[in-house]
Amino acid sequence: MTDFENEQGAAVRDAGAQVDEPMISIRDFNLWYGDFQALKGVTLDIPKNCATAFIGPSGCGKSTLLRTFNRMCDFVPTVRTEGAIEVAGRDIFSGDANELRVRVGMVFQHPNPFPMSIRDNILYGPRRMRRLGRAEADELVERCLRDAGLWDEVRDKLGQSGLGLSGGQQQRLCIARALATQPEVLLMDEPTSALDPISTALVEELMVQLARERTVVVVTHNMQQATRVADKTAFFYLGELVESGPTKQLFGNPVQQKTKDYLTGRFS
Amino acid sequence: MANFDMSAHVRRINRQDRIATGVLVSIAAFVMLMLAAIVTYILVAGAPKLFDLNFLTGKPQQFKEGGGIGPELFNSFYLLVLTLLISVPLSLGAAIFLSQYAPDNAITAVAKTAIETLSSLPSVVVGLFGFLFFVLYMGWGFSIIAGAVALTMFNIPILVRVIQQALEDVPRSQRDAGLAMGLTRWETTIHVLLPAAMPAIVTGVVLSAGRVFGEAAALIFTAGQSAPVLDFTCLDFSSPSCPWNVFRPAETLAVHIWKINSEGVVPDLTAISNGTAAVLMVCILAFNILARVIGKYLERRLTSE
Repeated sequence: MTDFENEQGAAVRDAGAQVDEPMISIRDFNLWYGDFQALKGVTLDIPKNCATAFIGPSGCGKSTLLRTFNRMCDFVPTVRTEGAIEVAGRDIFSGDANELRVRVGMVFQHPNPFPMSIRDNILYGPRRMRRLGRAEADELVERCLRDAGLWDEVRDKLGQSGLGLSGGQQQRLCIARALATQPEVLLMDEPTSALDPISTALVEELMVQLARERTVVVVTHNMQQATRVADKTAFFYLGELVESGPTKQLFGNPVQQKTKDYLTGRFS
Repeated sequence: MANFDMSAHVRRINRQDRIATGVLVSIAAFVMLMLAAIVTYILVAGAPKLFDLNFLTGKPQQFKEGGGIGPELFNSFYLLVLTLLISVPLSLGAAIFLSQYAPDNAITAVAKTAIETLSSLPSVVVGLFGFLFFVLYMGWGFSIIAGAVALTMFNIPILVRVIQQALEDVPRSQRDAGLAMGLTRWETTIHVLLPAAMPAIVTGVVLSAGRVFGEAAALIFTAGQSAPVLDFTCLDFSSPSCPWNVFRPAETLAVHIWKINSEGVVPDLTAISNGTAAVLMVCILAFNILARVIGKYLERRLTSE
């Protein structure tokens, strides 16, 4: 019964979100690595200011699609694409890739802070684009670290190397660094799979908060994580988008047999 | 499975492990002993001269005893600094290009093979090439600059490989972090990869410095075997006695050892040769220790402060 109510709540919220243009729109998108087709005719809208989760077994193309949004897949030499992807109404393949990556931030599976101080890690992105005054820089560092839930732990050691932090702290530093350039979209590629349970809970909480003001897309192999953080979930299998919808509906009442089988652990 | 004797099997694999440990320890001990013997011999033989200030700063003698190695000591360091000034930027550029920019094609494959070949070239060949090309054809004569360029040819392949390896050893995730923020390859290289690779690069440079410092064959034919008396107050850059003049001949410590043993006529040549060898070895030992200390320090600074 409660499930049903939640479902309706989600549907209402979703209807509200539908008024806006989708943040990312994918139309009949295909991607090949050499002869191997990793994505097959994917069409999907990713709503603005929501968290969207991509789930599916290993090798289903979910990470590939995520890495297409900021054109990180360009670095694979044999990659070839067909179809259209727009971020905020702009075709991502026609513009400059580096400019796109400033608007679309990314957090990786393994924390990867730059080999510099915590403060410089956060200021590096903004400083590339404009000069920052001392006070402005201090304020930016504090705000990003607060948004990433790390401020209280590192406020006294901002000058120390980011590589000296624990794994969970490093990951939150990477999130803070990604926030510093105020990206419209934040991509997260299995951001908690290298973290302990406590750090995972912190980062998940963070994702929910972050998705209030920006678009978050998270790839996860952890289905519970998708139910905890995502408003919308998309299920991929063998390069195809099998089903997508409000998270509650996809998990509570999936339409496709394939989705049901995956969710009930028939295959993984 | 029924007639498998587990305890016999365990006894056998434990015996194998003990034998392997014994063999490896004795090989290591043998190598260590040889090294220690050589180092001790050189230090003990050269000890009387090693702490003799007159020897370390005095000028060499042609016929009587009591000569020093002052100019040779200075020449060795000056030549080393010049060589590093030329070879480090070149190697850095080449290594960055090869590891970050070079497309995977025939030309870069040829370049990589050429570097590998150059690194296994005997140094006497490098010396003779330097003699024919820089000393004679370019008309530089026996000079520090000819020596420095020859040593650069000798040093570049090793440095390129060390730096390239250091850059490639930076975890892929670090590079992704830069690229995902929209940094260009250049920004990623300068601000992310180089700082992360710096401990390994500095260690490699200092270790290669030790090799360059002890090199003789490549220098005999390029920097020459004579050490003009140096006048440190002389600022006339064309004068052979001006220490900074790069077109003067300059015998180094290693070349001095070779020369004094092959054509020396001073009565105390054994003592001088032993003393020079000890000084050379102490310097190279210092380079090696320095390499470790600096490498560790940079590593620590990178991760903690």
